[in-house]
Amino acid sequence: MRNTNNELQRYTAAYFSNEDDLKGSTAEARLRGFTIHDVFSPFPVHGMDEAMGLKPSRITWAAFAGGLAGLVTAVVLQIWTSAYDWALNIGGKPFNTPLLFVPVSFELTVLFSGLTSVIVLFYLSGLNPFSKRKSLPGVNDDKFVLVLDHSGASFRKEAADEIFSKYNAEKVVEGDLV
Amino acid sequence: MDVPIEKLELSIDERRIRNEVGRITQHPAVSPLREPLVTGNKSYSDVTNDINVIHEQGAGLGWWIALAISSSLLLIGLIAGYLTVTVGIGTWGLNRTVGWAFDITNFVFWIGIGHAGTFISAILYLFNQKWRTSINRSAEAMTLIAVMCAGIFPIIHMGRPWLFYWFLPYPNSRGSLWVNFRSPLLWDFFAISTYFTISLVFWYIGLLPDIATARDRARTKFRRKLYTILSLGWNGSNRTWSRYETVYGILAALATPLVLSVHSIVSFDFATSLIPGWHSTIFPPYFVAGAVFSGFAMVMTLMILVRKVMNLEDYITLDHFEKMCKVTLLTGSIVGLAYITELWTGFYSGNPNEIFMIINRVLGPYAWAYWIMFTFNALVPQLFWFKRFRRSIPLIFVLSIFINIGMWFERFVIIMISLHRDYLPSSWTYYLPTTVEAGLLIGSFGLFFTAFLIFLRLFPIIAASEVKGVLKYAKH
Amino acid sequence: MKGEKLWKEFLDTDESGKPAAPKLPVYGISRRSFLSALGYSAVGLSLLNCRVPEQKIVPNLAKSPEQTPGVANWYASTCSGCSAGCGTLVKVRDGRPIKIEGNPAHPVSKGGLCAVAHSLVFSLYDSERLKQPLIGGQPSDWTEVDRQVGAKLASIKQSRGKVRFLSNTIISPTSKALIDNFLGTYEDARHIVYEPVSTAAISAAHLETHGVGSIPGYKIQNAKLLVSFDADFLGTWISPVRFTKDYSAARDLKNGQRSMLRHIQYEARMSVTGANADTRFTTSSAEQNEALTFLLTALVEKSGQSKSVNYNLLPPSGISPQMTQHLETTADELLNHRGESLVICGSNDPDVQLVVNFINETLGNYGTTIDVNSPSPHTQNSDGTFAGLIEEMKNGEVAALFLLNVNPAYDCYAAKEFTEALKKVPLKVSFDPTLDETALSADFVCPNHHSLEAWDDAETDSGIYSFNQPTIAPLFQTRAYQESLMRWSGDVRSFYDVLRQTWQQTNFTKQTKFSKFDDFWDQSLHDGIFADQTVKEPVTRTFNDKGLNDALLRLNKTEQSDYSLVLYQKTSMRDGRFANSPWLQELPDPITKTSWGNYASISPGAAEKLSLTEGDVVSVKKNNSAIELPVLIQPGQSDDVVAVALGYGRTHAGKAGNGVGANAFPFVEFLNGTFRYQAANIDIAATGKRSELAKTQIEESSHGRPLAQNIALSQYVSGDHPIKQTEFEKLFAEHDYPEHKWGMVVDLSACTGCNSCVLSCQAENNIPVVGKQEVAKMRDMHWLRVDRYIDSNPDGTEVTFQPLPCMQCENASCEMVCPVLATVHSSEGLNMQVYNRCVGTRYCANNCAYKVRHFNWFDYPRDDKLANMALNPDVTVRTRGVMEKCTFCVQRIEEKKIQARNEGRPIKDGEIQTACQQSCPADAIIFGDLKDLNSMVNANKKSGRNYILLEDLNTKPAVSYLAKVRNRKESKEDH
Repeated sequence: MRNTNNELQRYTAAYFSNEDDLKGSTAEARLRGFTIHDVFSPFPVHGMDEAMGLKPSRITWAAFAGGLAGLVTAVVLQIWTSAYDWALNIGGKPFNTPLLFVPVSFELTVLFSGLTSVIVLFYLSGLNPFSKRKSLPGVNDDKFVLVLDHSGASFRKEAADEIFSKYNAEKVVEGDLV
Repeated sequence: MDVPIEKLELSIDERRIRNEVGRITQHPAVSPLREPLVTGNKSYSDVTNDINVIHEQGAGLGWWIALAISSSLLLIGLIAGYLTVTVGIGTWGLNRTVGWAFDITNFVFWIGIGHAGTFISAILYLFNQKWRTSINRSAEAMTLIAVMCAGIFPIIHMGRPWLFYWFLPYPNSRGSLWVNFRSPLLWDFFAISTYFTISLVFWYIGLLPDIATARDRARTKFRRKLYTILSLGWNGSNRTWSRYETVYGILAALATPLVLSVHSIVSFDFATSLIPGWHSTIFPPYFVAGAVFSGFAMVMTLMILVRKVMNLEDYITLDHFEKMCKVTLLTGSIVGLAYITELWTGFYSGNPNEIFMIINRVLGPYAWAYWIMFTFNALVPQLFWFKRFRRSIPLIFVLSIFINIGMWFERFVIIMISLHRDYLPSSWTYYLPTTVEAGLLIGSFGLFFTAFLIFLRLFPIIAASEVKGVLKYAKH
Repeated sequence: MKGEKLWKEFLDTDESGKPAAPKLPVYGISRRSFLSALGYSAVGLSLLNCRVPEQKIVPNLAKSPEQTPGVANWYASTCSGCSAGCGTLVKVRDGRPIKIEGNPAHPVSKGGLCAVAHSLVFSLYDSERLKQPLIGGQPSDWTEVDRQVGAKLASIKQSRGKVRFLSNTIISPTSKALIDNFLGTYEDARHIVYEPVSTAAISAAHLETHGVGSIPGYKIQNAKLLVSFDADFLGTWISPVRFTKDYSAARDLKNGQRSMLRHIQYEARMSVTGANADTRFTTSSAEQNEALTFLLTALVEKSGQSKSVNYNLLPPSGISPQMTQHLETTADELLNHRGESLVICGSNDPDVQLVVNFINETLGNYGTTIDVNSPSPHTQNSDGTFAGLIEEMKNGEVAALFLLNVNPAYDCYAAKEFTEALKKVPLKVSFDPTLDETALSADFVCPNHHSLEAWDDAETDSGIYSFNQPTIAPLFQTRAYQESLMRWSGDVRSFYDVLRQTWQQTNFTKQTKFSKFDDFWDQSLHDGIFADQTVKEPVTRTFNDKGLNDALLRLNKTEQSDYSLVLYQKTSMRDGRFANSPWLQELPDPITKTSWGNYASISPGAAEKLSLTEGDVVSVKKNNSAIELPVLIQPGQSDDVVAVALGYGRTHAGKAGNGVGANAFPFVEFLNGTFRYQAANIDIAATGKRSELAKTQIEESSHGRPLAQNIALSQYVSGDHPIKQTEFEKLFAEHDYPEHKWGMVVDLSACTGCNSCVLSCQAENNIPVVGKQEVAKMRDMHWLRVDRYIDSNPDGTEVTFQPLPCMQCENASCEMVCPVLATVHSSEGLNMQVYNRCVGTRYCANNCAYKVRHFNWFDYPRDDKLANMALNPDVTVRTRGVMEKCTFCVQRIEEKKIQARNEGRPIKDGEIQTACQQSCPADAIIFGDLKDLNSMVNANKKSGRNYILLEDLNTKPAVSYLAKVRNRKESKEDH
């Protein structure tokens, strides 16, 4: 990763063997003013968001918006096609039969909402089939990694090491973020 | 700043930090009485290995034999499908009174099977049932495959299946002739495509971390390439995990009403019509319960096989089966209650057509189908009241197959028996399936098992990341 | 280009008189050639500018002024299906006859038609018809035929050999004269009329009692009480369409009448007629003859007449006490209706007919309901003469035999004997249009035109002359048999000229309206009929009662037997002449609802006794004749009767007719001068085999559901009956029908269940034939079906018919469920099916409470290009995988709407007729605009008998029914 000055950024990655150490070290590092680049784990660790100080995701709102769009699309499409664009006498029923439009409206609401939330997830997390992004070694197996960013003014190597050792870091790696 | 942290004076700041860290790292209260969800005292790495080894190692002889059998069945289905499409629906045993029989029976049957997967992955997720993690991946795969099997039938049952896209409301050269949004078949089309899409997305999202694991472990070029594309660059970042969990929750929340709606809508095919035996308000809940019931039976059948063949006894434990048996018992009893309610409302209606329909079901020419249904669905699961039976794998296996047979007959009874004798005795007929129809049913099982076998060889069949998350379920 | 070639050949034939040499390809006729050939014929009914038909062909460049492409012309003609001679209108579209309908102006059939008539279109386009004459079975040409036959005839003339002309009943005076003319040039020549299913006994009996050797005119419309003994006069007996018209007119309640003809039927099997009777009694075969003699005795006793009945000769009553009681009651009823009753009998035993004549004479019915002064010209056959012919042939006396429209090698009581004897005839000339069982052994087969290609006339009732006019140029190298005969006697004229000359000499002189013959001719052709108005002095006939005692003596010797075989004709197949018509084969029998084949019909009691179930194959044996047939269980049939339909088991009928069912003609007996269609003492035994019956309805009973509703006349008159219409609460606003709303009323009281409507619909709407196996799978495609319910009630077995077209529901349940809008409602109240939008989910059919939708399970064969000529271009031919159903003949509605619009007038009530309605011989179907408050259909919907089928469903059908009224008010037998 390059900063705005196009300089390579430095990082320190600490590997832990369990989620508790990761969570503790992350919380501690954040509270002590370190810039947490990211945390990597094989499974979602409970309380990690809080440890990292992440705000609740707004994807929920996107899902709601998507659902609303689906509902509106469905209702408008059904009423417009059935009662206005080409109204046909079907089984003697009135042209506009809102009750009979409920199932499709529901399904489209769900579909739009679900797809929107997934698309937003992919977009925000940079997930796409062409991504060449790799995981840190062992992250998808049994390793828990805390990556601290050097760029912030608050980075102090000794303090960091101290936190790492307090939480039984298995190894600490320093390098450039590419 | 060389002073070690612990030697620093505990400033107010420091105390605040310690409290905060302590709060964050605190464990939720866990009952020590809990049985571990995964036995064998596995480490994270063990889990990774156990699960990934299954699809990484060369397929065993058993798998190949199974594939040979299931793909032969699939071939039978393909031939039957070819005949149906090229020669016509006339190759089936339908007639002018019985317009649907095996086709829609199979369709409803397979859709029903699918419901267990969604039930396990979504509803149990929302109810925080941790035990679902060992089976949700395969159950969801089963859902997808079952919905595919189901989806074939509404298409192939059409007189002109090549025009199935006319179900879509798209502007067309007929200026613009739209579709009939009042038709339950159209609702079906929307419900099933939504159901399939959401289930697929749900399954795929859940699969992402495990695909990333597989990618990291991949040794062949093909697998590396495949998993690199499919993993979408997953790196286990907590920021992603955080959003992932949100989306997973949203999808679970969406899939829950969806699973209830799909079979309700399928039941509308019948409930909104005017045929005695179809026209019934009890159908939506009755169908949903039946769907979950049959789906769990199918999950149990599959899991018993998978567990045995893939040596997953530690992950899919007797406790899992016991819990599934309880669900089966509950839903089976609901279904049994529905049968009795149906009889009651039929007679209570005072409508001669309804009364005749009931009598014809119970005592008519196809009464045997009714009694297979009643015995297998309403009576057989009652055995699960006994813990002994809930923990006997061979018995569960046999009963789950009975339930599947029974549930197939339930749809057959509802569809065929209601149709063959309706309002005008002049149009009463009988129905006998042809070999082509039997071939399609066999073929759908062929497709189901073939696809499932391929799934077993291609993806981690247990949600490793989720299992890791509950590994310490009983340890704390 | 093929068309042009045909054209050339045709011209050559016509102008040079030489037959065209090359063979024609079977399918080599294009539409264009029909167009160009059209000038050949006739005057359009629908056109005012009648013109003289030309015997020359007009090239396509000079288009016939009658011809507008896309607009149908209608030509009045006469049905050649049987000797009844019903008036037809042939619909010709773009040079092709495509449909036959009834001619409302015809006094005999009054617009009604039977199923057989509709099938004539199909037989015209039968690719198995002979394409040229055959000599010794080898294709030849007319020059050669004329040369060889001429030579042989010349030598016969010299050697004074016997010449015999064997034909069916010829109702054409001109042709009959022409045949007589031809035969007159030979020393010993006779015209022998043969009918495989004979009613000659009636003629014989009348010859004895009245001196008139023909069938008298039955005037059902003059009767108040009709008692029929085994006469299926609404089905196949003598002139069923005419009888149905008269019968339903006499029983019509539509215009506020409060009384109707009462009909009592005594019969051994369940016939269409019996099903319609107000009171029906099942007689055992042993009782049949005795019942009549008993009735006669009762009548004579009760009426106090003595006549010459010798009481001592009457047998001690072997009939059941119950039957005795019924007959006594019937005798009382008959005596209450002296002079306005009619007793008829279907037996072909002259003795029985003699007794019937005596009964009618005792009741004073001659002169009122039976007219011997205007005898029917049809069925002039004499069974004895035919039997004599076989003897002559056997003895080698016959030098030349001409066969016209007869097939004795198949349908005669002694077919084998006939075939053997035929070999001894040196010259055998057949005029059969197909190579049937008899034509097979002919030396010369000189194929006659199909009746739709030929000129002829007909005297269908005494004094009523009608035309048979060609509606298409002959498709093949066929020649009218009249012209063949003329060529062989050196006459080179065309038969058309002969016909004109004859009419000029005869009928033209009987009228005063036209002074020019051409005008007279045109008008007669246009109308299709000419009624001779000259009043004839009624001849007083004295009733000759001498034969009665002998007859009674003979009848006394009724054989007692366990099982008797009753041979009958089905309304569709009749005597098997049209067995190659898939339409007729597939048309279900009104009573048994079985198509494609015959069966041994036995009563439920007999089935139990013989432990047989439906579909078990039995062998039926008598003497040397044995056939194997599947069993059909028929309620309402006598326990000692096995009923088998004639007309099946053809071996040389063609693709459709060969090998369908078994031939029962060998069981016909020749006794006392007539053919008998009942055989006592037959053996019936199970074979252990099974054979599926192709039934279109397998459930007999209505299960007590109020579907085809019945009320008694007394109930109808008093208004005290359960028929009612309910007004349902409206859940939502109804749609508007701004201009028209089409509706239909079906009068179940009028409907006799004859199934003519079904075939009319099939012909009109291009409905495919699906074959026996598909029918057995209940996949028949008939858009209109006639449901029949057999229910047992205290009055015995009761059969009711209910024609079921699409109900055109206002709240159509089918429309709601179609996902792709392939079935929607029109602004005129029609439930429309859009074939090209249909994807074939069959949901609509499932959700149709009336089950009137039909699915195209396959691409039904349309590969016979010639047969495709019969297709109606106004109706789409449906492809595989789409749903189809009755459209209320929307094409006919649109046609009349366009016509009315062009003429700037509103549509007249009754102007639009659906195909089913048009052909109905009973006028049971009324169609019209419900928005027209004065329409017939609205008037009938207000009738007290009007009800809606499955009204509870609130589908609001546009079709409603008028409940069947049975006139069973008369005293004691009411239970």
